[in-house]
Amino acid sequence: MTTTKNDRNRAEKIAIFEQLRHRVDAILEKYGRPDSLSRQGDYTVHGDYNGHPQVIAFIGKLDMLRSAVISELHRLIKEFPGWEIEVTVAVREHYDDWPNMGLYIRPHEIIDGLQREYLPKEFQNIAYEGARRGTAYD
Amino acid sequence: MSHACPRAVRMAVNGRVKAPSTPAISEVVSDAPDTNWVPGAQYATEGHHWVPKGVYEKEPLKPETKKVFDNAISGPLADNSVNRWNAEHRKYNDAVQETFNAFLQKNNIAPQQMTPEQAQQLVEEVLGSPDPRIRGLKTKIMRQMLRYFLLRGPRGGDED
Repeated sequence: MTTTKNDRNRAEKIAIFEQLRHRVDAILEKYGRPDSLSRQGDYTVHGDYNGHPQVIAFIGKLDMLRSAVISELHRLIKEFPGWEIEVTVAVREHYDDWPNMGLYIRPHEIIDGLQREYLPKEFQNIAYEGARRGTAYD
Repeated sequence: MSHACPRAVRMAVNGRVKAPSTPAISEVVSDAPDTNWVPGAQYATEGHHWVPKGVYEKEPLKPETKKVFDNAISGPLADNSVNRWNAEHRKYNDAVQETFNAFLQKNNIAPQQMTPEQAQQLVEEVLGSPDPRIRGLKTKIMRQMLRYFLLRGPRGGDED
């Protein structure tokens, strides 16, 4: 079997993805309980590489959107140039009545797409250093 | 009660993926995503784990049982799988979790007692599930599998 340049490139990206997703998980585990196959927790880090240089975290516990958590993720992603962490707000009680919202955490910026008007009052003033408002298409 | 499992998905279990023979190309092209999709560009390598990897890894499963879930994967997908802050995958995970817990209860076992054969049964249950949270995402994934094969062929081609 011939190993092509493309195969090697993919393998390298998957290796980075695996490393990054486990490190994201390790950070989030300090602030909440992970979902498992038998238990509903506070968050999930998606385990499948989708071909994009990103790791997706689904956050169901709003406390995990606090700036201390996001800052920690931001420090992490700076070690992975060209990659991003997508934080998707996925609160079970609001799957159907909240719009899609979240953050892209990139080495040089944070794209803030939280729609604060839907969040409880105590989360409406959350601010992130180095963030700019944006959309899911940024 | 058993539910029909689409052929393309059955073939994808354990990574045995073959090009499905349906539907017509015109139908598939009409399924192309509205934005950011370039034919022939950007393909993911692994695809989608039918029992989500991010959650089964958190269970104390036997290694040989975990291996069944490792291998229960769609195979390569044409890549339009950008998530864009969509909670659909977590909804899918919730539905699979309910299926898993019902399976444990029905068989009166704990996660660490699950055998590889039982894991395979669970995968089949997930693939045949009528739950809209599972069926909706599964349909999207099947379209991406199909698009991949139509564009690249069953051997995946080579970009070099």
